[in-house]
Amino acid sequence: MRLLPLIASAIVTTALVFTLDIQLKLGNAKAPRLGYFLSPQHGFWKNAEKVNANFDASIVANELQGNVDVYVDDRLVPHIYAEYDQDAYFVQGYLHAKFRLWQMDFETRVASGRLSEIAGADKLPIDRMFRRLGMVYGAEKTEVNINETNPNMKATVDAYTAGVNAYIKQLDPSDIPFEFKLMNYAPEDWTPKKTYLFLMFMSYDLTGRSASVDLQMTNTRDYLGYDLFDKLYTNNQDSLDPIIPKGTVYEKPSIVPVKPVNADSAYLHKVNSLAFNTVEMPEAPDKNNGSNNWAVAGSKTKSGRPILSSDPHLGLNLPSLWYEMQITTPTHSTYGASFPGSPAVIIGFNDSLAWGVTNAGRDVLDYYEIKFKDTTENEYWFNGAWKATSKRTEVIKVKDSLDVVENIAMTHWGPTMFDAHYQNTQSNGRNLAVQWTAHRISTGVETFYLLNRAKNYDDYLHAISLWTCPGQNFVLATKSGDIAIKQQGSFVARWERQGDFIMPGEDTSFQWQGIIPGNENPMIKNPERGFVSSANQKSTDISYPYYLGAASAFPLYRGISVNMHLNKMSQITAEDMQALQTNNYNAFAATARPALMKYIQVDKLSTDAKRMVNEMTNWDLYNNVNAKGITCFKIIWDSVEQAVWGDELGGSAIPLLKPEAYVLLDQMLKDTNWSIADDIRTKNIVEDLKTQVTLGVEKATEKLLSLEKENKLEWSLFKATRVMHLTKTPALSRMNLPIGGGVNIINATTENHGPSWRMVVHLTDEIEAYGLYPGGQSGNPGSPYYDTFVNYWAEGKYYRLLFLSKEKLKQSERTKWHIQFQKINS
Amino acid sequence: MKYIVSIFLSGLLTYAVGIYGNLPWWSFVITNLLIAIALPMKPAQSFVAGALGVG
Repeated sequence: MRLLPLIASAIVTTALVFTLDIQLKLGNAKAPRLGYFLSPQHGFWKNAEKVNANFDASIVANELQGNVDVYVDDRLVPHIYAEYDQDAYFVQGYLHAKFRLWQMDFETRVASGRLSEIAGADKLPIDRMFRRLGMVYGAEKTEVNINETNPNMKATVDAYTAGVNAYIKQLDPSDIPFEFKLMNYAPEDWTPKKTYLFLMFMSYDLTGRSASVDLQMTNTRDYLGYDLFDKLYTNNQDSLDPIIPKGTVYEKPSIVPVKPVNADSAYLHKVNSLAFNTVEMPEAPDKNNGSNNWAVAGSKTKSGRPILSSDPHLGLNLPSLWYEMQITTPTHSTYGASFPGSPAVIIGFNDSLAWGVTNAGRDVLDYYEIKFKDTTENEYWFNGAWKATSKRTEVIKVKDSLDVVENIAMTHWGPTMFDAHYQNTQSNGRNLAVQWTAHRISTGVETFYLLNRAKNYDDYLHAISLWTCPGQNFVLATKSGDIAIKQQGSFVARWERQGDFIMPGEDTSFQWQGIIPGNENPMIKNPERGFVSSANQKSTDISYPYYLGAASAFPLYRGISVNMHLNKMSQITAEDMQALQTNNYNAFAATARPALMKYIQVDKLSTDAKRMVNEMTNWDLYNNVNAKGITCFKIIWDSVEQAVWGDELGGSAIPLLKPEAYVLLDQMLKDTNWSIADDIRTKNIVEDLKTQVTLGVEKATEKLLSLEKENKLEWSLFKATRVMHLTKTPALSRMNLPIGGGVNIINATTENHGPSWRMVVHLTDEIEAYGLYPGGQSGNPGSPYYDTFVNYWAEGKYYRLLFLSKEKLKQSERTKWHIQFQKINS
Repeated sequence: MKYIVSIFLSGLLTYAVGIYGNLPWWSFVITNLLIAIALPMKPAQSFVAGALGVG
């Protein structure tokens, strides 16, 4: 044998294998292990699914008490028929894992601050934030509480967990989901804590914005001074059309929160010296997180039966947050959108009623400033003495690096989120503890469990009475003809502006003085006007005896638009409700455009600017796919805001809050001589609103001209709506979708955010329901069912949802496959 | 003849060793080495046979 060539070949081969077996750097990211990823027998090829794939299966599981039949329809929606409730949840867990395993793993990693473990030190900032915010802390408390006090929920979540793990156990390593191979890690077992972590993440998504906004509001107030702050960030919303109609009389409050005597000096006027750094708060929830829902009574419908509509507005992702399914057991038969990661159906209907949710937007997260004795943080000043903290240790594993340990000082208020070890731009060197209702025990799972089984209004009320966080507006319509809406959750009884800013934490004078009793939360049943609705606006007018929170959390115009349309409509059909959910009318522009025109000095405009203004004035006020006028309007409005606010806010080194659009609009409608219009940077000139608006139009024209050149003036081309894979990989995403809508519009579709589930339910005897979401039932990018519904969704179409008994479903031509679950020895 | 057998064996063993998901992706390197030892050929021929078999 020739030794030298043998050794040389061996070295070359080993080097090749080694290079192909590690993750090579690719810009900022890491490539997958190429040898593994490209291997035909181990790699991504294995995840390709045939177009005519067969989903029939027979599965034996010793966790089952009885047999379960699952019929899968042509949209890959499973319909579960089980003899026992816990078996249904076992099968739900199994199916969630079968079709969405990586998504479940990824989302719970984000929630529990475990991204660094798989993606390296780059993800440390976001992991540290979620750990210090108390996401794991809250989930652990919920788990302990459910284990100790709620055997039925424990059994439900345990059954769900067992189902997920049963799927993982039978998975061949070469068949793990595509994204695990891409990112080079393997699935791990599911635990009940992960379900609670997932629900914590929903709490964060829907109430966690305060964690960022409270800091920004404090800094903005400090920068401007309270008086100017109160003008620019006023809580007055003159055009408000509240969820519970104006004029409703509210009961005397059982808690009357008392503002501390020193609040004006210690709280509202506090000025700090500011030290700046430049790291933004990662992963602040989208401001547009919210939703629409409404129910119209039989008095307004053609059939005489109520119709309910619900569309939650969240980030648009692939795989989708939602997974459609039907669950039928002897105790209930329910259809709707479920969360992979949690048992039960979340937004849906059963054979007696339908329900939906929108975000309440109430402030349930506050910061308290802490004075530590020294850098050990073992003691802090509280109620006149040094009080001991306890330390919560969170270990963050980091791929290819050492573990990072967070020792979080726990105080009377909650975890210390910001201290000497962790700061961002907005925290400005302060020690801040966070108090959040999500840290209290959560009973979310039980609310959905009970809603799935609810038969009437009383059942609905009981189910939602257990709901704590995130506060939601629960809408209801029953077959028997009731409609109702209630804002439900653990809401803090606040005095005016309590919690808008960081509060002093050295004693109890600024503490929460109580949680508003559930029966004092805003609600209405069977109102005279024949409909109930919510679109994240304030739930009440100012006569409600509790402070709802800063007005910036409550958008105005979608609610105005929904109510305006519902008030006018009669003889309503399900198709009418679909058309309303996808309506593109711009209620904000309807008022703002004439206001703008009052101030534009047309004779002073350039030719191009005149052209753009013309485009705007000729527009029909619908944010449709091909409309150019809306693009012009939006860019002009943004530019005018910049001209008006830019001087007041531009001098700050740290990001400040932008005033809400209604503030400028209200001033334009009221006061032509508004002093804020003056540009404070131009010492010798006093600009008026007309000057600033005209200037804004000219600046906008520059941008509009370059958009025109790139052929991006049409609204859908400008907006470029996309549904992105969770890893933000364009190749796995759907980009540039031809859909209209936007902020302030009922069809609330923006660049990457919008109606993540659309549902319309007509409460006839058989229940006529329609729905879809922008995604597909399979989370596998190699499956034809990955993005099946996206086109229909963009076009504003709906699928008829199959809600049938087992016998009828078996015979339906839309039923394609049968998955049989059997207990051992059956 | 040896050439054809070598290609065939290489393909067969690469496939067989890959079916067992617990074995690493580079297991075919080992099987090809074994074939090269069992069926010695000129270096260039051996290389091409292995490549064709894996492909």
